Parts: sequence; C-alpha cells; structure tokens
Amino acid sequence: MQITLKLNGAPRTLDAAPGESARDLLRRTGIFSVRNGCDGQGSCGSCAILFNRKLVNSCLLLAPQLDGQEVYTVDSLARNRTLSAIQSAFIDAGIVQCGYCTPAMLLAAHELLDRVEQPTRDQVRDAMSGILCRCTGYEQIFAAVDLACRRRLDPNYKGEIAPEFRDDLRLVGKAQRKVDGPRLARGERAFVEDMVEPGHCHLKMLGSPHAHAYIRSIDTTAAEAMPGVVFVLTYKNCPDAPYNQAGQGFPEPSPYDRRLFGQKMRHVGDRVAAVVAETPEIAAAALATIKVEYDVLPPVLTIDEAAADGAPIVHNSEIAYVAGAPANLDNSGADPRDGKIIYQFPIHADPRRNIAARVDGGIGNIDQGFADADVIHDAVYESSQVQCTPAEPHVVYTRMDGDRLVIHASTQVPWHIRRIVAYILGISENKIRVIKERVGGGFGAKQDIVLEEVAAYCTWVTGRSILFRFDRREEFIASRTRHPMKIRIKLGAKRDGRLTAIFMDLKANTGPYGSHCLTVPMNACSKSLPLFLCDNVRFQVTTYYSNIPPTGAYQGYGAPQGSFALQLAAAELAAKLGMDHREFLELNRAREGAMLEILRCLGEGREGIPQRVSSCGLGPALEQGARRIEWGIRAESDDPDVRIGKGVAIVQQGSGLPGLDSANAAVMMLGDGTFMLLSGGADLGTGLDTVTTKMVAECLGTSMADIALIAADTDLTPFDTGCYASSGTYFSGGAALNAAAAMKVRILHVAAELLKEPESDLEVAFPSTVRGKHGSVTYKDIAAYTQTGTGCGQLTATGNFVSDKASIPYGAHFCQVAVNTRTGLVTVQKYYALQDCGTPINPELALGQIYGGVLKTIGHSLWEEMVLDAQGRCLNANLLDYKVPTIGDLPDDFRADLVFTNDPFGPYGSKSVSEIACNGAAPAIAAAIHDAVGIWLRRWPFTPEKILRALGTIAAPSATTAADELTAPTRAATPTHV
Amino acid sequence: MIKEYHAPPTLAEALALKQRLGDAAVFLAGGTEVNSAAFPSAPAHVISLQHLALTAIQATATDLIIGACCTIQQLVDSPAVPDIIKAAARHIFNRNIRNMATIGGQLGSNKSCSNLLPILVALDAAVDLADPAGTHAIPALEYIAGERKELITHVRIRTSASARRAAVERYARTANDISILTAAVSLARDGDAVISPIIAAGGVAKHVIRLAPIERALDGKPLPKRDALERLVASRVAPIADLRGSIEFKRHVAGVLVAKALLRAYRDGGR
Ligand SMILES: Cc1cc2nc3c(=O)[nH]c(=O)nc-3n(C[C@H](O)[C@H](O)[C@H](O)COP(=O)(O)OP(=O)(O)OC[C@H]3O[C@@H](n4cnc5c(N)ncnc54)[C@H](O)[C@@H]3O)c2cc1C
Ligand code: FES
Ligand code: FES
Repeated sequence: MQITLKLNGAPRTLDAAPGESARDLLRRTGIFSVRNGCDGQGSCGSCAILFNRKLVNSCLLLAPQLDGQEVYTVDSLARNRTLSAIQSAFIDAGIVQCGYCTPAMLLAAHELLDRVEQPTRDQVRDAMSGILCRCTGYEQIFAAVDLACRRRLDPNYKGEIAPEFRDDLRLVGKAQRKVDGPRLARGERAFVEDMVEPGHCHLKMLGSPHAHAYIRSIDTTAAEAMPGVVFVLTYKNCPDAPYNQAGQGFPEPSPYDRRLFGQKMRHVGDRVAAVVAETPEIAAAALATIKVEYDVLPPVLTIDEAAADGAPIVHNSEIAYVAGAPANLDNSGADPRDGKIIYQFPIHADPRRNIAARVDGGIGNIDQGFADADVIHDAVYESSQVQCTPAEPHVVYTRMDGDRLVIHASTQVPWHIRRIVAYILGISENKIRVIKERVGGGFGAKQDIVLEEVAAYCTWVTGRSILFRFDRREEFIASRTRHPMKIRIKLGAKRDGRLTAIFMDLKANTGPYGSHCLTVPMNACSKSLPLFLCDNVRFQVTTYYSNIPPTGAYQGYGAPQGSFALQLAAAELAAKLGMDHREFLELNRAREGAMLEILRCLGEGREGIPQRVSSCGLGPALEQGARRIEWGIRAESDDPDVRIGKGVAIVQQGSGLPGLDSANAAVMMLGDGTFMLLSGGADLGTGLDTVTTKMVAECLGTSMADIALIAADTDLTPFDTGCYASSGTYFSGGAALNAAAAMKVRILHVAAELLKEPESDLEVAFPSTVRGKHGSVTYKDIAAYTQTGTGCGQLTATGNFVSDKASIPYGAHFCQVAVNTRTGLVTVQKYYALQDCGTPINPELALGQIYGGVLKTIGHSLWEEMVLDAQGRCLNANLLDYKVPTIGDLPDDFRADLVFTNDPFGPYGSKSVSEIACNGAAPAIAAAIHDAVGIWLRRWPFTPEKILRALGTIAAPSATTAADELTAPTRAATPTHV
Repeated sequence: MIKEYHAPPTLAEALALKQRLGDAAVFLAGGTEVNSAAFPSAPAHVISLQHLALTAIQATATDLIIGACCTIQQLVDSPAVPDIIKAAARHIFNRNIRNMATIGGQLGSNKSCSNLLPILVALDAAVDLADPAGTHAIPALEYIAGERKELITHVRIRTSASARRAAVERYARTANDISILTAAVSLARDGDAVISPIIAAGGVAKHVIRLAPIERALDGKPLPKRDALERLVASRVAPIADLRGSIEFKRHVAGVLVAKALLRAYRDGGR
C-alpha cells in the first residue's frame, strides 16, 4: 500500500507492506540512523524517531501507521553537514562512543529541549529513559545537555568539558572533538548493516535445541530445493579444519577444538545448519524444513558437574599437539563424532575429564606464609554468567570483489579474522580483505570470531554477497559471555595487617569451547594478585568444559571475577583483624618501584615478564576517594528500614600484552603538507582513532584536522594484533606515535637541505612548520619540494610498537549503598572511581570509558545474570528480562576522576583506561553491603532475594534457587507474570 | 504475519470489521504489545483505532472520562488527571513506551504486572464497551477478570473515587524493569477506622486482582501495625515462582508493598 508522510520536513510517498515495521521502511528509504538493538521487542530505543514530535520506537510502529503523519530522524538535525548545537555538544561532552545509540539520544535531547528550556537532571533522565546505551554509563549526558542549552544561546560556547593535563603539550591531555563523532552524530552510514548492497543474500543459522547431543541424522533436501535458497551448510559439507574462534595472536593458547559445524552439539544454539537465501523470510522458512534427529546426552552445566567423577564428556575428541605433546597422549577412547582438538602448545588440558586448561604457580613459600600468619581468612567467591550486550549484535557482510573475498566486519581483530578465515578456507591471506566498520560496541565479545567465518565460507563457495546478523537471542546464547568462576581465596596476615600469604584456587567454566580458556582465568590472577605486595603467593587455575552458552573475552577479561574474590576477601580479612579496610589496603598495596615477581609465572602460556611498577596513582586515589566519600563517617537514612554502608576496592589492569602484541602505523605527507595516517588500530567506539590522530598531530606540530585517518583495513593499513587486552592507546597509539616520530625525522632531514642548517638546529613548530636558527619552512613547501621530479619522493614513514613493559593502570573505587532491609533492594547512592591512566590522552573520552565500565559492572553486581534451566536453555535471553542498566539506574552521585601520573613507557606517558574500570564495582558494593547490614555476599549478582535470605527475612537459603525451581516441568510451562 | 492493515474512520466500521474478521483481527492502539516482536499470536489483520477520536480526557461533574487511546504520557501531562493516576503512570519508566502505550491497551493486554491497572481497580473505574448494538459500562475489574475482548472506548473514574485516600506502589529490579509486583489501594477513614478499603495487587495472580478477604478483614477497624499487615497479606497471596523470584520472596514483597500502600493512604492520603 502507498502511504504519504512528512519525512524530515519533506512530503514523501512510499510503498509500505502492511506488516512491515516503520523502522524497516525507513531503512529501506535510506534513513540509516534508525538502528536495531532488540529485534523489535521495543526494549532498547535504538530505533527511536520523532513521530508527531514525540519520541517513539519505530520498531513498534507498523509502516502504515506513518500514513498522514510527521516523522523526524536525526538526519534532519545537521544543516548542510553543519552540526546542530545538540549534536556538537553531545560529541564534545564525550557521550558519543560507539555511536549506535547516538541518533536516539540526540532525538531525545532535541525533543526535551524543544519542550523545556533548562531541563533538570530528572527531566533529562526522563527524556533518555527509553534508550539503552551499553558504552557510556550515561553520566556525561547531563553535561552534554547542559552544554547544548548553552550552545543554543551562544553557538561558540566552549565550556569546560573535562580536566586538562600536561601543560607542556598542545593537544594531548585536552578534550578535542572525537574524530568519528560528527559522522556518528549525523547518523550516516557507518556500521556493517549500512554497507549492504541490493541483491545480497541472508544467512540464518539453525541452532541446536539441546545443550549436549549428537546429530544422528540431518536432512536438508527440502531446504535445498526451496526457490530462493542459495546454499545449505552443515557438518557434512563444511571443511574439516579444527580452529578456535578466540581471535588471539598466533600461535594461540586457546585449543583448536571446533569445526565450522560439528556433529556434536555442545550448547543450546550450537550450529546445526546455515541457510543462505535471497530473503530472510526464505532463509527462515528453509531452516524450518530441515529435519534433524539427535541423540541427546545429559548436559553438564556447572563447574561441580563438570568436575564430578563420571561426568558426561563434553569433548571426547581425538587430540593432537603441534608442539610439546605429552608422552602419555592416548586417543583410544575418542569418539569420532566429537571431532578433533589441536593444541598449539600444552595448556595442561585433560578433555576426558572436562578440563580445558590448567596452570599453577607462585612465589615464596606459601606454607611458611600461612604458618607465620596470626589471622587467616578462607572463603569461596562465585560469579554468574553475564553477557556483553553490545548495542549492535554481531554482524558481518561478506562479498566477492573479483576473485578476492571482502569481509565488512564489526570486529576488534581484523587481522585475526583474515588469518583464521584464510586457514579455514585453505586460501592465502592476500585473497582476503577485512574492513572494520564502525563497531556498535565490542567489549571483548567482538574479539571472538563468532559468525564471520561462516559467512565468509559461504560467500567464497557461492560467490554471493551475504549478510549474517545475530538477533538478540543469538547474541545471548551463541556469542560471548563472562566465564562463571568459583574462586577460593585464603589469606594470612599478621596482627598488624601485613599480608603473609595469598592463595587463590580458581575454577572457571569455559562452556562448550575453549575460547580464552587459559588466558581469561589467568588474567583473573595476573590482574588481581599483583595489587598486594606479599612474599608468599600461590595460585592454581582449572578451567572446565560444560554445556552452558559460550564464554570468551569480556571487558576486564577475568579480572572482574578475580578482583571480586580477592578484594572482597581482603575486606573480610580486614574485618577479622578489626582493621579499617582502607588502612589495610594502604598497608599492603602495590607502589611505584615495587618489583612484581609474580608476573613471571603469569605469562599467557609461556614464561611471563616480571615488571617493576613504573607509575602508580594508588596512593592519591585512595586518599582522594576516602575524603570525597567521607570514609569512616557513618551515613544514616531517615527511613528506619534503610541502612547505609560504604565500601572500597583497589583495581589494576594491564596495557596490552608485553612480548605478544604488535601494532603498526604509517604516515604519508600529502601535496599540501597535510597527512594521511594509516593505523592498524581497531577503534570500537572507545576513541582510539582520536588517540592515534591526536598523538600524530601533537608530534608533528599540526592540527588534528590536518591528519586524515584510515584505520583497521587489512588492505590499506599495516598489521595490528587487534584491540583487546587494553592495548589500544599503548600499542596502536604507540605505533602511530612512532610513525609520526619517524616522519618527523624525515621532515627535518629535508628541511635541513632546504634551510641549509644542520638538523640539530631544527625543530617542528605549530602550525606545520620547521623552524631553524635562521629561517623556517612550511610543510607545504617541503611537500612541494619532495614531490617534484627532482625531489626525494613523497615523505612516508612507518612505526611499529612492541614492548616488554606492561605499564599498569591503577585505581580505587569507593561507593556508598543503601540497603532496604524490608525489600532487599540495594541503591548505589554514591560511586567514585578514581583512576590512574597515566596521561589521559583524551580526558573526556577516558572519563566515558570509566563511567561505562563501572555502570556495566554495577549491572553485573546487582541485576544481570543469565538464568539457565536444567537443560541448559537460557530463560532470559532478551533485554526485557536480562536487566542491563539504563539511565534510571545511575548512582545518585557518580564521579569518575583521573589521577594523573606520567608513565615513563607509555606513549606520551599514557596507560590503559577502560577494562580496569570493570574491576571495582562488585567488591566495593559487596563490602558496602556488609558495612550496611553485616552480611557478606560472596556470589554476584547481589539480588534482593539473596539479601533477604541472608538477613533471615525470608526463609534461610533453600537448596533450590529461583532458577533451579524453574527447572521443574510445571514451571517451564508456566508463563511469567509480566 | 500481518497481511492487512485497516484504519477505519468510524467506530461503527471498526466494530463491523472486527465482527467480520473475528479472531483473525486484533485492535491496534499504541502497538507496544501488538507490534512487538514478542507478541505471541501474529494476527492476520490489525484494526487501527487511530482515527476513532478516542484521545480526549474530559472531566464532568461526576466523572473523569479518559479516551481509550490516550497514551500513558497524556495521563502524566494532563492537568485533569488525578495525581494518584499520574504516579502510577510514571511507574512506567520508559518514556518512549509511555508515548506509545495507551490506557485501552493496558486493559486489552491485561498484564498481571501492569502499572496502571491496580489503581484503576482501586478507584473502582468503569470501562465503556462498544459493540454494534451500542455501548455499555462495566467495572474495569470485571473486564480484567473476565479476560474480555470487547472494544473499550473510554475509561471512567468517578470524581468521588479519586477523592479517596489512595496510594500506589511497585517493585522492580531496575528503573526500567517490568514490575515484579504492584499494589494500589484506596480507602476512606472515619476517625481511626478504615472504611471500605479496596486493595488491588499485580504479580500475584494471572491478572491484577482485588484482595477481598483482606479488605473485609480491615474494613471498619483501625489499621493494624505494619508487621501484622505484612503477614496478613503474605499469607493470603499465591504468586508463582519464575525467573524473577521464588514464591516466598514474592509473598514477602507483596506484603511489604501492600502494607506500605495501606499505611501511606491511611496516614497521609498517599499524596
Ligand atoms: C519495552 C516495553 C516496556 C514496557 N514497560 C511497561 C511497564 O513498565 N509497565 C507496564 O504497565 N507496561 C509496560 N509495557 C507494556 C505496555 O505498556 C502495555 O502493553 C501497553 O499498555 C499496551 O498498550 P498499547 O496501546 O501499546 O496496546 P496495543 O499493543 O495496541 O494493544 C495491546 C492489546 O490490547 C488490545 N487493545 C488495545 N486497545 C484496546 C481497546 N481500546 N479496547 C480493547 N482492546 C484494546 C489490543 O487488541 C491488544 O490485544 C511495556 C511494553 C514494552 C514493549
Ligand atoms: S529496535 Fe526498536 S526498541 Fe529496540
Ligand atoms: S555509545 Fe551508546 S551504545 Fe555505544
């Protein structure tokens, strides 16, 4: 049917299908700014439009409902590409991270400011209440709206956006407009889903209904015969190449324990068959015709079940080693249906006992340490499975370009994708180009290669362009989650509080495959243990296979779990000692200059590198945080049911992987003296592109506008291991800076010729000039000189960054919570995250990283948890039931603060900032809950029900939790009362 | 899969269409339920109520008459709507949803955890039902309990009812959560005595219900102490366990919520 509407001010007549959503219609019409975060459930707001001047979710409107109405999208805000006051304010305030939610936020702000001239905090909260943003932690929205109000009156209003650092530098340490901000704020084509061309095919995946089963038979003939079906792929016709999806550097520590498709199903949603078809409807219809018979096996869901004698074996596979095969390797019991496992080197796995990886180590003499202790604390801490929930689910678009395969990816690891796809397809890497588009939130989940290889293979075989996008349910059950862990901590201390021994026995659940099965649990140790200076430390790590949804990398990478266990144990020990928790931390904490010997045994599958702490802001962070939260002074509520408590935790992370990571960049001078920067760094919305651009501009004495960036395209830019392990600023930034420094050397060399002065007398000076003692020459003149037929050729330079130094970022997180003893509800009243990231390159974006990381993990601490039934089916695989924080869940007083240090090794003195922010919330909140009501909660999330049970308000913990009860057959059938 | 979209210009045509299409058609108001991907029965036909002019809020001498297609946000914004209904409407935290979802849709979707239905029940609201023969009013509770499907044109609240002491409460995990439990009460006071209380609760049964035995136990007497009230309520509700909580937990919280609502209404009128 035809409808007529006013779209962004212009009358339009469009063809609409009766059942089509308004969002789909708008996207078909070329409005890319309406996005899709929840597949039309209505819960994310990323598809918001102004419909008759009201903000509504366009996925909840039928296209015909637009008939005769007025619709505005963000596309209407920028006039001739000039940003509106609201757009520029939101970018400058640092609230545009990945940008997937940005168009919705901007429309909400627009609607609000049309209604209210000077909105209050509550009004801002209300206006943004329907928009889910996983990146930013929302807090900077308030400043953005305030800035927008001022800019509406005075377009040139600058305002103070963030604190400034490093007086000696021009750009570094000062807020500068995020380089990809304008594009994202204008809602232009930016993400993978925006890149598809007419005529592309759709890939849909049939997922296993069983958590653990063999495929007995599979019949795809009906699907293959369906008109519009292009290709059907199953374990029967896929390459027999074991690999892993972890997206790590080669040789990977993760086992090659899967194929594209296997005969064994290891989790609900595991790949059974892929259908490529002309339309999504045909693909879905074809999937429904595939007949599969399963031999169902009992599922293994928990660490205890996996470790039990006689437990069902998740990987009863044939095992092989590339290097270091153990002498007693025995494949006699292997089941061919389980496939193969190849280890690049030993990770001490024992798959027949469901052990995916093992490691142990330590320093000093642990027994002596405990013997010397006056007080010992020994307890087990558990974390449940939580999902990364990027606003944009996993998505890939693959196509052929001549005889080369092009992969448009939303990824953190373009080069690993190329390597792994080349390996699976059995082709050389130069046949493949991976282009990282804007990524709508990565958080680790997009380090793993969870759908790219399937689409790539299907395109390579069929020659067709293919879009493969997870829906939100698939994102929950088939992408990546935090490894659930069970961590025993035993601590010994002298009566004065000094630690004499730390023992950490860590068990992790890797689920169906071994993605990051060694490294995430190790990181839980390596990013928590070195926070305390103790001579006697031991750790042991065992990771188990099971049939839960897959786990993998997630911002923090094990450190949130390790930190929760160790920091909360420290709080408990301090309480036992009768010592102030903060004093205990101050006494035992890491300090500048300290040698961290423990890191020697915490390499990723090889010997690690012990580190001397090169810079450490822990002291000031603890001191300033304590002052701000009025540590030691009890706060009281007027409500007699409410008790208030305060808590603290100290945190650390790393800055990339020393000895493993490598980043590269190139700089080219153009004819007018401006530059192209080619960086391998994959910006996930974190601001990395702004970091690299800014460092190069700083070094070369130019403005950022004079640097044009191309990043993370395997054809155009040099190699980078990828954006994970907090490596972006340190490694990719370092490579860009090294390339700029090399360019500077070349520039000075040419300038010396032109000025006839020795190079040692020359320096680059802003703007784009070389100054000597006597004369000066501009880059423009240098470019002209070098690029003529008599010149030395275009100036180009490359830079590489590798390091054996791991500059460690530090921080202290303080919080104040109110616990309602009648309802069990916990409110985070105050949260102060004080972090030392060395020199903050982009302070406003660094703050955004902290707010985002903290709010995510407040979510994990209080609300988020994937609930599985006894068959391993996730019962809350959507954004209505799985509670991701929204703007209404912010602490009343939420502050991120940057504690300045100048690191000697990081580029411009910088260290990482984002992952570390995830490590404080759980232990600080748990400690604060104890301070409020005297209970130690040792398993996240700290739900009201757990609190009421611990307080004895409702019957003592029963053997069955709500989730267990759900497994009773009557329950699964019972609808929830919603 | 929706095959046809109807937007009839008059009530009579809407009713005639529904009569002709029967179960193959559903009425479409805000669409937050019908158009959501989570909607269980994908209807072949939708009949939009968009053009039926059911969006007015009108106060007469005796009644507040709310058009069924008024959005939740309209309730929040309208000066004619009593504060207690606004408070319940604001419990739907998501403004995008408030901008779309309608009061008629709240009744039509008839969710146990609706934030608006408990207060409608507690204020003894009536709904105007239209069928080809004409319109007639029935109590909102009857519509809810009977899982009725007739087209609602208006919701009526007696002015005298909204003058009663009333309070609303909700229990949710996060700001943007669908409530796990809800409660609304209205009552009058004669000295210390509670007079004809109405207690409505959501999340404790398939639909929003009145806790009649508790109403009877309280009627004509001074309000018991909080602990006693909580126990009384907890012992009389029968929620189911689901992924949002066990039975014991929900019982306890229902007690807390209802007691809190009663105490607020009793002490300070709930305002
Ligand atoms: C993301 C999300 C969050 C939500 N949060 C909340 C919340 O916090 N609190 C809450 O209470 N609810 C919440 N809801 C539920 C939602 O508000 C209700 O479903 C809504 O009130 C339905 O209204 P509607 O106008 O959108 O109904 P529609 O989707 O148009 O219709 C819903 C049902 O009612 C019927 N119907 C509609 N109008 C009439 C009428 N006039 N007469 C008879 N039948 C009619 C329809 O046929 C249909 O069966 C949420 C929903 C979503 C998607
Ligand atoms: S896609 Fe519309 S609300 Fe999520
Ligand atoms: S910036 Fe909001 S979801 Fe990424």
